[in-house]
This record gives sequence, structure tokens and C-alpha cells, in this order.
Amino acid sequence: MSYSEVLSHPNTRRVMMGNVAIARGALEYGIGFASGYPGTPSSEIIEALSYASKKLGAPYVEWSVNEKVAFESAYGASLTGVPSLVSMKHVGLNVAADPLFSSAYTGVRASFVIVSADDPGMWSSQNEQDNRVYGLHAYIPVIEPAGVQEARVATIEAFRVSEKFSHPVMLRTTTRISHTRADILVGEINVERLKWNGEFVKEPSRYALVPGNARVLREELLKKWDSIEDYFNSISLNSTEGDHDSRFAIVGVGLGYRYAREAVVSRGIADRVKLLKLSAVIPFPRRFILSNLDGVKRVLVVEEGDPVVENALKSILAEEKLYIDVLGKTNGYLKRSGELDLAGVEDAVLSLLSGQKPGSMGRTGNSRLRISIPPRPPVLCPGCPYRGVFFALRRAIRKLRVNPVYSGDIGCYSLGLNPPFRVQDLLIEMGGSIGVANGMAHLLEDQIVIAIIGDSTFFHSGVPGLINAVYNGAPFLLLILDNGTTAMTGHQPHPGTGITARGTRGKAVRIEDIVKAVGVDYVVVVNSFNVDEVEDGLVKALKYVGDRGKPAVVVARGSCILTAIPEARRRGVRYPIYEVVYDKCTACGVCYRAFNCPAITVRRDGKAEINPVLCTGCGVCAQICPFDAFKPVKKPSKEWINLLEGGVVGGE
Amino acid sequence: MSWAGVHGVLNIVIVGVGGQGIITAAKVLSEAAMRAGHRVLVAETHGLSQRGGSVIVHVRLGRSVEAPLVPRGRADLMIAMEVIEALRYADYLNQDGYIIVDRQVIPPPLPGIGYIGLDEMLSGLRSLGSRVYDVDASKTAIEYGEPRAVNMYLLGFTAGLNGYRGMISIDDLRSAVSEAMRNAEVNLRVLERGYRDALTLNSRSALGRSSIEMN
Repeated sequence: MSYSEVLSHPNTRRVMMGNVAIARGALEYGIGFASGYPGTPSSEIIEALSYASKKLGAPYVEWSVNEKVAFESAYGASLTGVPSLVSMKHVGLNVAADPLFSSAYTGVRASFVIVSADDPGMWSSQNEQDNRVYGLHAYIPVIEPAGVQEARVATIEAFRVSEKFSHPVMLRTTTRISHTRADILVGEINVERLKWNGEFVKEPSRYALVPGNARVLREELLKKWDSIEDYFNSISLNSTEGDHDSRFAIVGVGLGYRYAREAVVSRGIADRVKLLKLSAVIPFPRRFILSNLDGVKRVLVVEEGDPVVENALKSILAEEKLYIDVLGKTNGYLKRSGELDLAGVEDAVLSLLSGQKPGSMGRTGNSRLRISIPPRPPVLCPGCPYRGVFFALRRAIRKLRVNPVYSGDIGCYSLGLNPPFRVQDLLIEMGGSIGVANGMAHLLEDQIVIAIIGDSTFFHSGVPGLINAVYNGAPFLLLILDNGTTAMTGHQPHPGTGITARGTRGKAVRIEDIVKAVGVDYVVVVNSFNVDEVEDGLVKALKYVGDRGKPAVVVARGSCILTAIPEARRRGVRYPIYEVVYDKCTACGVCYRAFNCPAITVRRDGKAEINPVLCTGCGVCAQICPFDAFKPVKKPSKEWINLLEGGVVGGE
Repeated sequence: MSWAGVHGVLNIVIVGVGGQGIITAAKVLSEAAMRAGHRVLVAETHGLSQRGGSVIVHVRLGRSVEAPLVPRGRADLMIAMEVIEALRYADYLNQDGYIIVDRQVIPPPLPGIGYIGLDEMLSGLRSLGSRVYDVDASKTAIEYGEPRAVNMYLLGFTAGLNGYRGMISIDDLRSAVSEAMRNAEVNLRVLERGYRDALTLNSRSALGRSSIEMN
């Protein structure tokens, strides 16, 4: 994907995504190092920086193996005196929480900004956690851009705060900042300021957190925290507008400010309320807020996520013995889950004036509509290598008559949750499939555990769980789905590909080598696009687990179709389209029910039909049809088969 | 700081099935809007929601636009790449909202969903009382040898109807496509074709001979 807008000319307006504006801000400030692990909605920050790095030769940018390592790397860069950025999705910060807490004690040398992209509404996440709470918990200042419009400026400001206090700073965005495009006015990038040589100046009393040092640093940290709060009381990111004598105030936090501002204008009450814009949020700028609540009777807090500012405000008002009504998410003026929306905020600002609680929240549904609309959950793409593997897995289970528990994980294969496959009985977090399988495997009598994990997720946090299984002898089957990319988040490379974020060729780390090296005695690699081969591999591995009571691993390898097709186009390789042979089709439905390819639909007579626009020529339908009723329009070429079987990147 | 007014806001939703080029359509539209001198916000969803699932992208234009999402009941225009998705998000439209929809049903790949007819879905859409323009965008795109250009046809058709209420012209779209798209030539031709088809339709409607405007 091209990110040319990240390098657009100074003092021009270009349409760019919030994540790209954040990357631009980091480049304008002058960073020398950036790292991250892909995760929606954060991934485009590192992608845009990679693009810039390829064009400018700097800064150094990498996809790290997981968020903890990404954090530690960027922190390490900062200790050498080089400004750095690390980016991740909200739950990624859980993985990196350990170094996060410590970094506040040591502080940093050059500025260090942690971008946390939260996902309220859970568009692509397992939870809705609000990472501003980490700021409070770990003594990390939090800056929230007031919408995409402020993403670039707030990023630069976050670096400046970090520089001023030699302290890590969190830039907290949310989906509607990260993934909203707007016309952004950009400043200048000085390429020389992106090229850095680091030098580490030893100071063990600061950087070595043994208890004796940490106790001293704890006292220092508390003092620093107070001075950062003081600074946030007068920082330009926080401001006020509207009627300064009003008895009604709104605190618009980050993106909440945009909703609040549009709501008071659209409801015609802009000149009757006072609006506080809060972007430097934690430590909570107590004096700024209190001085602006003078004479106020009622205040509404509009913030994306949990009522973090709302609760902080309440506790401060209680301490000050001030009686001001605080309206927000804790008392039903705004809804507690999901994202903010303009209509909801409009109702809340009207309530602020009237004192009446808004009526039914979250009204939905189209009352005018008389026909039922079929749901459309996300599905595996046509040509996805996982479809054939799941089909084979179900067949293997039927053949062996065993009772499986599918311990699932985070990636495109999470979609195996849905019918017809139902091969994700549980999934909780990155790498969890293997960890959870460890515990279950020791206790289940009549069931067998099958952990299913993707390639990038295996590298991320699957490996320690597998070591544990070998060490403690946990009998389960681990199925590693290797499609040669981090697919769900937009096809970032990972250690298995041997390609770095800057497009250079590094050393590819082979999954089967890791598996063998940690001591798994049974490991086979199968071709995801060959259903019989996958089934055979799974049957044998499951028997091994049952007979020997030890872990076994099957690696199913086959390219993500979304990387194979563009690569085929680039190389001029044509991929075949398949068609139905109607004399042979018996309308049995195996292809559109049990195999469930989106390119295969059902005709009125029950026979299958292939949508030529959606068909990607993977050819698996021809293998699973009991009546041989699918054939390619043209015989698939060797080159195409190679691409499917793992020849896209690093597949040597 | 003074307050801006809310005049001249255009709320658009672009809907369809993940992978159909919805984000590309929004990108082109936002580039065109910026060329026309408007502030623009485009809210997208990525990741898990995108894999062949139902997708909605919010596009807001105008000087006083602040918030990224179009509230339900307030879209002036829906550009729909597929009929079931048009139905799903129809409650985003306001009373006078236009729906420009490709005459195409992509059945959700759910086992046992059975046959879903285009006519039934289209009549459901018309029963909503919005101004529905169902057009042969995918058919035309395939004719032009670029099945992914459905979005271009719909963008052009909307311009021909003056669906952007004077805020984006066909020229703005032309230059946005030339600059932002890799395969610009064929996409431009499909954009043009959509534009001309709408103009032809409008002049015919004016003569009272035929109308696709379904109420």
C-alpha cells in the first residue's frame, strides 16, 4: 500500500488517515527509531513510517515480534539518546505492560512516545479496555488528540512533553481517530533530524531497577508527576471556548470534544455553554479544570471509552467540597459501551441544560422495513487456505471418531468460529490457544485438545506455551496455520517471511525449526491447498497424541490468497477461474454448505454456481466435490500453484 | 474562538461487502471534496470487520463538520455496492435521502441461507420511500473489463444526478481518480459512463418518457 501522503509537501493540505497524521507528526518532530506489532486500529502508523523510511533512508523502523519486544526496543533506542516511537493496539499494551511500568521509574533519555490505539465498539478486538487507565496506574502521562484533526499536532506535542520531562508519554487514539481520514495541513520534515547515532551513558542508579534504586526513583517519580500535572494546567492542547459565565459546562476529552462541539452548534446552544477542550488528560490538570468550573452548576463529560475523566472530576470536586452535578457515563447521560455518536451527545447536551435525563438510548432498527435482512458476518475470503484446512480437520475428526475441543486464537482463523466449521470453541487473546490447551490437556478424559494458531501469532506469544507443553508433557495437537503473512491486520511481514518492515531481506525464521528445537518429537508440514494431504497429516498426528500422550504439531502452509493474487499480477502469472459442470452437479450442497466458499452460491434449483468475479482459482472446490463437478476454465499454471503453496515471500 | 455554523454539511454513507472497493470509493470522494475546497472526514473500519462482512464508511463534508460519524436518519446520500447492504443501512438516510445502488445481490455465504432474489430485495428497498436509483454498475464494470470499478460507476452516476448537492463536481472526481487510482484509465471510463447514464436518465425523466425514480 502506498503512503505517499505521509511525505506530502510542507504547508499543504492532504487527505490522510489519523494513523498517517501521527506518523507525519513523528517525522516532523524528528524520530530516529520506530517499532510496533500490527493490530487494528494501529497498524498504519508503522506502515506509513516504513514507507517514509524506504524513501528517506531514515528513521529506523521495524515490525517487532510482539508488543513487549517492540516497547523494549523503542525504550532501548531512547536510552541511547535517540527519539523513538512504539505503536500497538490497546490489548497490545497488556503484553507490554511490564516494561511500561518500569519505564516510568527510570524515565527516558530522548523523547519516547507510546501510541496506544484503543478500539471502543470492538470493531476488531476482543475487549473495549480504555488504556488511559494504564496512564494512571503506571504514571505515564496521556495525551489524546481532539479527533483526527489534531492527530499530527498532538503527536508532536507528546514528543515535546516527553523531551521536557525525560519521561515516556502515551498518545491514546481510538478507532475514529486512527481510521478517520481528514484534510490535514502539514509542517516540515527535516531529513537530517531523522538520522541519529546513539550513545548510551551509563547510570546504573537510574536504569537498573533493583529495590534500592527503585525506592529512590519512586520518590522522584511522584515529584515529576506533580510537575507534569502543573505543566498540563497551562498546555495549549487544553483550552476553553463559548460562554465563560455560563452555569453549564462541557468537558470534551479528545475526540469527545469534536462530538460536543458539533452537538452544541447543531442544537443551537453554543452561546449558552462553556466548552473545555481536554487533550492533555493524565495527570489530570486539576487547576485548569477547577478554575474553569467557577460558577458552574452542572457539567457534562464527553469522552470515548470508560468514564476516566468523569470519575477523576468527581473525586476532585469531592475533595474541594464543591457541589457541581457531573453528568456522563456513570449516571446514564451517555451510554457506557460502544463508541460515542453525535445523536447521543446531542441528547446529553440538551440534558445538561434541562436537567432531564435523555430517553431511550441507542435507538436502532428500521421501523419502515417489512422484509428480513440476512446477517453478513465476516468470513474467510474465497481462496483462503484456511478453508480447505478446516474442511480437512472436520473430516479427520469424523474419521477418528474423537471428541475435540478447539482452543482458538487471534487472527483470520478466528472466523472458523462460525458455521459450518465451528473450530474455535474458545479464543481469548494472542497466543492463548496454546497456553489454555496446556491446562486442559492434563485434565480431559474423553476429549482431545486441538490448539489452532496462526504463524504471526505463534511467533508473537505461542512459543513459550509450546515449550511448556514439551516440558510438562501436555498431550494436545497444535495446528499452526502458516499463510506467510500477518493477514488480518493488512499483510505485514513477520519473522517467518524473512522480510523486514523496511523491505530488506533478513533471515527467515522457520516455524518447523522452532518446533523441533523446543523438543516436539512429532512435526509435519502439509500443503494447505491439498485437502487429502492435510487430512492425512492431521489423522496421523492426532493418533500420535492419543497413543503417546505427548504434544504433536502440524504446520499447514499455503499463501494468503490476498498476497498470492497481487503477486501473480505483478509477475504476469494468470490464475484460473473454476466453473460448474452442470451434468455432474447433483445439488448435494457440500460446496456451499460444508465447504462454504463465498464464490460458490446456490442457484434456484439447488445446484452450485461460481461467481467469476469472486473466484480466485484456488482449486480446492474441485477436490472436495464428491461428483467432480468443478473444473478450471483453463489448466492452472505451475507458477500459480507455486505461489499458492508458499512462494510469495521467503518461501525458499 | 468563535462558533462555526452547521450550514453546507453533506452526509454520505457508502455501504457494501468487505473487499468491494468501498474504502477506495471513499478515498476518491474525499480527494475530490478537498479539491472542491471542502473540509472532509471519512470514517472507515478495518481488520476483522472487513473480511467479506458488511461494511459502512461514513463521509462528511462541509466547513463545520467536526464529528466523524453520520448519525442514523441524517445521511443525505447512500452509495450502495449491493442491495442487501443498502437495506441494512437504509435507516441512516434522512427523509429526502437518495440511494444509488448497484443492481446486485451478493448472498451472505451462510450455510443453508438458500436463494435470495434481487427483485424481492429491490422491492423491499423501494418500499422504504426513499429515492432509489438502482443501476447496472457491476454489469457495466464487467463490460469495461474491470469488475472492481463498480464504485467508479456509482460515483459518476451520483455526480450526474447532482447527488452531491453541488459540493463535488464530475471534474473534481475526474482529477481525484487520475491522481489517486493506480488503474486510472479504465476507472475514468467507467466513472464517465456512470455520469453520462445519469444525465441521459435525467433528461428522459424531464421529458416524462421514463423514470427510474422509484417512490
